[in-house]
Amino acid sequence: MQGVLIPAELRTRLRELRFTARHPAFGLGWGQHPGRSRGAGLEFEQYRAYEPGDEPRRVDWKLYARSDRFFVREAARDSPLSVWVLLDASASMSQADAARPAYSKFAAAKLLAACLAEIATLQGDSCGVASLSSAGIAVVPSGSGPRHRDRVWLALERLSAQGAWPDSAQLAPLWERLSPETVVVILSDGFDAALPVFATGLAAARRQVYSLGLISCEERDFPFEGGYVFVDPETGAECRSDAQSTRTEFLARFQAARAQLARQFARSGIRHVDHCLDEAPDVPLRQLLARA
Amino acid sequence: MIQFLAPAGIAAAAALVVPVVVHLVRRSDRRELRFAAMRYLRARPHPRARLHLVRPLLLALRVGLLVGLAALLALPVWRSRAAAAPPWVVVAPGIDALAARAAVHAPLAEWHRLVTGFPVLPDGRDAAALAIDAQLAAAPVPIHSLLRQLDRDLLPTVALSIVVPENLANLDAERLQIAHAATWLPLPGFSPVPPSPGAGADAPLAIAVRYDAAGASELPVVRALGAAWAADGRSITWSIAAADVPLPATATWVFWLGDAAPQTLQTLQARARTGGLVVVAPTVGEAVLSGPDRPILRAQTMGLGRLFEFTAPLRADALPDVLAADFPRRLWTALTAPRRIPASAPARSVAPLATTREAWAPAESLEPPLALVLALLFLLERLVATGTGAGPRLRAGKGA
Repeated sequence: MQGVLIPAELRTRLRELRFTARHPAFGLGWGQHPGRSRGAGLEFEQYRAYEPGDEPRRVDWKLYARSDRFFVREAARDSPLSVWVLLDASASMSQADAARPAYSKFAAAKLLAACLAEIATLQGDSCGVASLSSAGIAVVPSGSGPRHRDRVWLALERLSAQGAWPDSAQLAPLWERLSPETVVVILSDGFDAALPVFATGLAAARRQVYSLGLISCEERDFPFEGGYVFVDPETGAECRSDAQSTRTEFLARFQAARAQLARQFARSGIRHVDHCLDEAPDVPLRQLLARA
Repeated sequence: MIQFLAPAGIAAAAALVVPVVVHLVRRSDRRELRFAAMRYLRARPHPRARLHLVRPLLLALRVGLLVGLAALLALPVWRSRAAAAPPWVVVAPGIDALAARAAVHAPLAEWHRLVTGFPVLPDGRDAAALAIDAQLAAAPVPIHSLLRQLDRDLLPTVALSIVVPENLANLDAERLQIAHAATWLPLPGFSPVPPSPGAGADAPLAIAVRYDAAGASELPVVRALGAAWAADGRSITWSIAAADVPLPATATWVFWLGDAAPQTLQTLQARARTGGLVVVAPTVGEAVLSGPDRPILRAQTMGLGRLFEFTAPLRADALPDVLAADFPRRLWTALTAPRRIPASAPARSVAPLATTREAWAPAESLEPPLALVLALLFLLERLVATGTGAGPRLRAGKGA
């Protein structure tokens, strides 16, 4: 569990973070979020006319005294929220910095996923995890409670990044699990052009989508010198290049691509935050889950 | 001035090619790097038209290291020109200290006695020192050897004056050559000579005499010689017998009278080689005893011993000299004279020859300091090579 284990101080800081439902949830059971279902609760919602079969204790007797009619008092029931964490498990996520070779983007994504599961568990919501790769889609079904959180952590520990981003046929079964009003957090580097398409599709279908873009420091700074043969981990394609002479151009293109991605997400109402591997893991979470 | 004792070691500097080539080869161009954001990169290889040295500082360190190693192999020494030094006067044994000082005018010179250790020559104020010096002056020394040692050890700028007796002894076979500016000053006198190791007068002697038919006629002369030597007080044991009687092992001298067959001569020569002295009647070798008109006895060194041959049979009719009154004594002297090696000569005839040698002071080896410098260079090279440069070279700070 060492890779995913959340450091103690980070776990403490996670207590301040909360998922909030943007729309009233429609989930079953009890939760902490405004729900769409009516019933017994604290928050008054409406009166409706008495129908046979209603419990007499739910009749508002004071109103009956004033109006001489039976009204039943209804409250909005607080609903639980369902959180799904989608991990990009394509090979490009295995990129790590030379300064910290063990902490790849995928390791960071696993840590963030563990944090999200912890937050969901703390506020009593259910949480599911799926790792998406063309090599296969691994899913931990949605569930709640500390034991489920531990299950999620254990599953995260076994994940590894390989292959490419899955095509839409592979992703189709996932749609069935992500019901509307679900909070979906996508942890990815966003290099694959199919990812924003998938994310905007989810957002358009009334899923509450957050995107967390993971960038390694070397991708951000391009600190290389001399000639290199750059190898794409997903396709194996090679590119012989001199780092100094290509730095400016690379940085310009990379930043343009990030800005394009951010615009694309913003248009679809997806909150997107970029996270560099040298930052503390709770910083992007704080930005992502900040109340609007 | 730096000199190299083994200049061929410089050839090791040819190894410089290795680091230069290593730094010219663009290993970096073949470094593979997995880079997920490669899709934003464009191929832009290094320009290959001109030579490009990778990491020039490291190259300079490595070149310096190799040059230093090559210099180390060439055995570097530091030599400086010798400083001026006062002249020396060395006085050989056989010359009295005060006589030498009186004869040679050299007020600034250092005076030394030419014996082992080169002690200072007393100037007459200290009687005890004079007495010790007189003892030294009476002992024989190997003059040539001592002068060669002096020539090697003294600073090259020292002028030498060598005071020697006119009659030098104890010389060796090599003509003396001196690189210093040397003055050869023979003064009247004699070199002390070691006592000759000749046989003592009273040493008992065993002489075996063998004769054949022809030699029997020489027996009276041999007997007369024996009588004459006995009258001189020599104690001699004689063993006189015919040729076929074997020689006693104790016989120091052998007289063979008569014709010596080649086989017999071989036996006698073998005996002479083991240290004996053999006298045969006729005929080769250097004349060591001559009569008024012709040589009588020839001698030949043979191994440890000697072989003498008379030029004529020992008979009064063939060799009238045997009748002379002093013949036995002269013959004894000739037979017992020690073998002489020409070791003495008039001093003027053996003046040292001058050779040239550059006036360098003794060389100091530069290897220890150079080795230290090389060790430091190596340490620095390792630091530079394995420091920030290991693996992909990262720019300091956050680039762009």
